[in-house]
Amino acid sequence: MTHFEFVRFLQEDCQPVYTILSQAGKTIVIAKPGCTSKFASLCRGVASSLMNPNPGNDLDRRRFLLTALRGAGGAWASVHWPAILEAAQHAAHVRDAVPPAKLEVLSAEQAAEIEAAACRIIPTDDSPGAREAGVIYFIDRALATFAADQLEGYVQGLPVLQAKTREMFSSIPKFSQASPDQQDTVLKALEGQPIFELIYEHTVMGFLSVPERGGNRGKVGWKQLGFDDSPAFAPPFGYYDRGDGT
Amino acid sequence: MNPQVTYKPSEEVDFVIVGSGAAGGVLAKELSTAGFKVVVLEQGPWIPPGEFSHDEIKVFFERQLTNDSRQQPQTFRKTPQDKAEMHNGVIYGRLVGGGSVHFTANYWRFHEIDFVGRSRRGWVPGTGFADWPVTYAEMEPYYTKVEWEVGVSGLAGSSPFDPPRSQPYPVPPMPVKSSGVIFERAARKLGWHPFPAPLAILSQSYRGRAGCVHCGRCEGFGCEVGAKSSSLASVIPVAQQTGRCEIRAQSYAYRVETNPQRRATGVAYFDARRQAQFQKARAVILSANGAETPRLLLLSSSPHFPQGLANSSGLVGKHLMINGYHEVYATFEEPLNEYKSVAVSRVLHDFYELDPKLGFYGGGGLDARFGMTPLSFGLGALPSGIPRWGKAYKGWLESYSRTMIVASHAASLPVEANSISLDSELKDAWGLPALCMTYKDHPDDLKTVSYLNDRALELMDAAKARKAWTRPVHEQSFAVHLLGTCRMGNDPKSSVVNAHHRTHDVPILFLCDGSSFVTSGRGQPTMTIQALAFRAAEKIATAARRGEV
Repeated sequence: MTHFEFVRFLQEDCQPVYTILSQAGKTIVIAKPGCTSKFASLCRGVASSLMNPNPGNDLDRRRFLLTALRGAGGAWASVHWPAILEAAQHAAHVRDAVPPAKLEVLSAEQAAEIEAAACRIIPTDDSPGAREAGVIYFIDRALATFAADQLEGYVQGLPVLQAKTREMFSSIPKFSQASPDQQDTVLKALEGQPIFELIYEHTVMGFLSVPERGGNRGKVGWKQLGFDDSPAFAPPFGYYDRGDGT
Repeated sequence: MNPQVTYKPSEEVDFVIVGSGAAGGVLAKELSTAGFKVVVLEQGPWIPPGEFSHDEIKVFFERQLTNDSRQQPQTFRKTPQDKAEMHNGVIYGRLVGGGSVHFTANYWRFHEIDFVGRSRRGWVPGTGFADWPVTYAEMEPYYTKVEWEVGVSGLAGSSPFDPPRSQPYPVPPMPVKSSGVIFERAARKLGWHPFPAPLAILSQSYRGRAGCVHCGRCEGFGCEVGAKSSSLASVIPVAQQTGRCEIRAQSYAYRVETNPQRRATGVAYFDARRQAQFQKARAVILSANGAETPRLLLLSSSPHFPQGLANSSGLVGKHLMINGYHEVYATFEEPLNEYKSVAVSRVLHDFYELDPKLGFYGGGGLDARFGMTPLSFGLGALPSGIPRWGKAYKGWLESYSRTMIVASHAASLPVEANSISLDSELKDAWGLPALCMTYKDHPDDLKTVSYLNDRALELMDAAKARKAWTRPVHEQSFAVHLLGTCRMGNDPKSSVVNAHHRTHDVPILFLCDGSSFVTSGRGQPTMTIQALAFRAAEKIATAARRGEV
């Protein structure tokens, strides 16, 4: 099997051939029963190694995997086993892609204010925006993880957002209760201020980062970009490198 | 992590090497295969390739692969007269494999001029511009060795400006990308000479390693399939297989010890539990990168060496060079899908040596590339005139798949005031004095970058880009290329190491990494760092066999 045949296998045959489950931190690869693909036995070999109850750590798991693949594919597998592992992990990520849509850090009221702003930064029109991408769930998870030190920025900043709303539209107590046009006016007035920049950066991040982080649901942000997250590609990559290239 | 020998710190090994990156990995492989006992102290963790992630937040925001300013904060100032402010300007790989894990893998050899620019072109005011004590001709066999031992793809003879070479590349160049086709057509139209990028990335299986699967998570990321020729994927496994080399991760060196006879006796380090340890060795090699190597020497001052180890010249940490870099963005009608495959597929060196009549010293290369992840594009690529939020911003995001970059890579001149030093107040999480970076681009460096950037705009104009944009050239305050801070030379008064990487002051202390550079080349230093490491290993092994370490 050549390199590009393998790549094609990853792209086209992989998903129907096996299902990926993630349990207790272990990746399990299972060939579907009755699958007649020439790769099925390979996948079963991977599966048996990964389902071995013994592997206590990644090193052991990889060693089992390597052993199984040597049996399944000989020299070819020893060269390509990392790619197979990579594909398996990628598939596991896809499986894990949608964390539950619930708030852990932010209150419902804080979330409503932030989401209202996020939805003006990346609005919904004929394609999904920040709301459909679940940006607010990304932000909530971020504040529980890598951006925990930025929670204070929201605690301090959301009252500024509300105060600016009241200042500009006296009858409206909350940003999320303003009309979209009014919201845009408030946000324009706050551009450059810490609360705007915080929501702005987190909104873009939540729209475009990996779905495992809680946003970019259904990969709607990546669709907006035209970005394909397949684990492997083969040339031609784009329009201009088709044919004889140069 | 492969099975490997382990040594007790109290056991005197032949060599302790600080750093497991581009240089340290090569030295570990060469010295262990030559029969020596080697311990490599790596401050970062050992990350198995299967744990390399496509998650930009993990890689860039949680700093999976690079130094973390929350643990190791830094300061920055433009000149020694300024007060240094908190700013994390020095970015380096902090894991087994070092910066070679996440690098873009551009492997240009230096040209002859890079070694002898001072005598060919004369001194440049405000600099410590000097020739190297080695020439390209002496380095050529080691460049070839890098290409074959580490694994570099490319096409020999494809650039008329390339210096002579003794061997072709071991594997063919990577497939051309759409950016490369556009770049090549436009460059030819202008009479320039584009060629396939030489990359330390395998285009096909080589020495038991897999070829690239073009996943596109390349620049800035670790390679899960081992096709990127990092030290982690290429030389470190060979070192381990000798049964004589231990790579000791999470070992943060903080002092090189010397005895009253001024001989280095080993390296003190903090282990993973932050306990102080001391590894005894017959000889010490620092390959900790062009920021951490001088820092470690400055941290190792003693009554014999009051201004830092090996620093009688006063030049440890000085002459920092970081290379100029600038980008032109361009969008086209049809999808390029530059997020696929490696970052770069075409380069040109027509401006490697700029005409002296321009009135400044410099030179560099241009390449067609795209290192933009979805996140970096969304947050950092916006042209002026496009709103940064709202419907228009969202619409602009669609141009991601139709965008490419032409990057300028340029020489930095060695300026003595540009330096790595110890901050007088700030400490890291281990209580050690923090890095302070002092840097102000030499005026000629800024002129060089502006000149190259104008050529990049000209190129995208010739390519009939729908839109091309750039930002004004400005002084730099971030450094990923860390060069020149323990420069090599024959005179102990004007250099830190000799032509064999031995420090002038401490006979069994060797320094080999970007710090050894005398000039910066034209923007792609890692190939030369590794060629120096192969050469240094040969010289050091010969000396050791003669009992001279």
